[in-house]
Amino acid sequence: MQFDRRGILGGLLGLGAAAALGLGFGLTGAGSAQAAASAEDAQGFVAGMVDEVTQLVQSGKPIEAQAEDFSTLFARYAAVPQVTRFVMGRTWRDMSPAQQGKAQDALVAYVGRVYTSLLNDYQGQTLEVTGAQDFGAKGVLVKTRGKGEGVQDTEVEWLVSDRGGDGLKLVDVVAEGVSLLQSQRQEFAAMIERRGGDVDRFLDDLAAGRIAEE
Amino acid sequence: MPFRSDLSRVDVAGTASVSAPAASGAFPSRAVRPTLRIAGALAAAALLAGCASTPDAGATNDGFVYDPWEETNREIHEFNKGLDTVLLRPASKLYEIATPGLFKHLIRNGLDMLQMPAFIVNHALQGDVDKTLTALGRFGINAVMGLGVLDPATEMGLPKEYTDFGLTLASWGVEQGPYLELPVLGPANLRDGPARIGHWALDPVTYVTSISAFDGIRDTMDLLGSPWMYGVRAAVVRSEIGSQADQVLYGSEDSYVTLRTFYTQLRRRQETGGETTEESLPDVFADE
Repeated sequence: MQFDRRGILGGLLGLGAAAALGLGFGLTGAGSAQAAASAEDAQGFVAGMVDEVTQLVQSGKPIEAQAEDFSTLFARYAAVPQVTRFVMGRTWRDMSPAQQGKAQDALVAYVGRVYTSLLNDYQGQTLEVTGAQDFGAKGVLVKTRGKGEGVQDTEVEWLVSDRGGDGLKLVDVVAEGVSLLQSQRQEFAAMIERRGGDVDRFLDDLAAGRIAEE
Repeated sequence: MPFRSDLSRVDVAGTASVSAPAASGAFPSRAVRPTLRIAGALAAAALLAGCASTPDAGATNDGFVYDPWEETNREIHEFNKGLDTVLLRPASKLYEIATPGLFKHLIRNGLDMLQMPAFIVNHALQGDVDKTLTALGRFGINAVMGLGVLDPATEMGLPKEYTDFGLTLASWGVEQGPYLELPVLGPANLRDGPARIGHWALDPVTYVTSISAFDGIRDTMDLLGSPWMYGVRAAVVRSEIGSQADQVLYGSEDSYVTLRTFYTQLRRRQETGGETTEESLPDVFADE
């Protein structure tokens, strides 16, 4: 970066042009894509869920109790059967109905434990709903912005759908572009592989929070 | 709000980058023959485009990411993780504890500023006139009004729009290609790994020269363009994404797979300009 005259001149020229441009953006960006009615429902659904989770994290309960409460919330708000099937990946088809049921319970326990401790890292941050986008068959993506002191804003998106026939349910959470569902599916596949394909052992470990050493 | 990954803030070209500066350090004078280097970069890019156009067939793990070199990648990952444990993480903790909030803020803005010339070049190479002008204006405003360490431009509607040469190649149609984990540099792929060289070669900051009448300015410029800055940036970014990085590296049973999944998704997201696409969303109700 060489601060010679040409550089500064170029910068100033760009400055004028871009300032004008930025203003233009601000004006056009405001009234984009009106959310549909179902998108509004989805936003309300997510707002309610975020409220409940926030209350839980701020309850001051011991972490084990929080984990149990969080599991209950997850079971209520999320499309647990479909989510479980997705995160189990290819293994799902080879599982017995008993194992599939066990997988749902293991996932609910796992989510409570893991995400409660993660959420406690974000105490004092707030999430506000900023919009929604309808993705048809895949559901409605509700966009939220996480704000906290001294940290940059985070974009968290919630995929919500009523396709399960059981009212609106949470399907996926996408944090700054990273899908939780995809991430868990990949991680679980690696965990199952590490246990030599022993699904029962994997599910027991998942529920109990045990880690396999190499 | 489970599992925020602020990893998207990890600027892929800048973070934990030590190889590029190491290379630059090998040249006694960094002012030599920029044209030659640009030519080299273009050659590398051409070569790269050739490699990465190989079809992505035979993907492992549900086709989520193609990783034919997993075994080697895992060994490098173990090395990198060790490096984080003994060096980067402690350095980032030290920075976090020892630096007052105001200074962190100024340092963050200063580091952003240093990236701006490369952003301008890459937005231009992507043919994005709006973003190029925004970046140019942002650079001008923050350099003059912000003295390089404040960020009045964001308030004025000229936000930071991250980009790098890997994303430039993506805009030219180059696919990510097989996943790679590079020693020291961390996660990459056959497109983005070599693209770091291109990014460095195309970055005007690389060619900071020592032409200034004032010793103070010259020394400052030399320092800002020096390999040390990459180390500083790595520590700063690592501290900013502290708990997320810890979660990925130390909170999951298979940190290699977790990092690979995160990186691949983040890059896909950056390729689409930060927008979630229908394609990227899971279809959990399929085959019912």
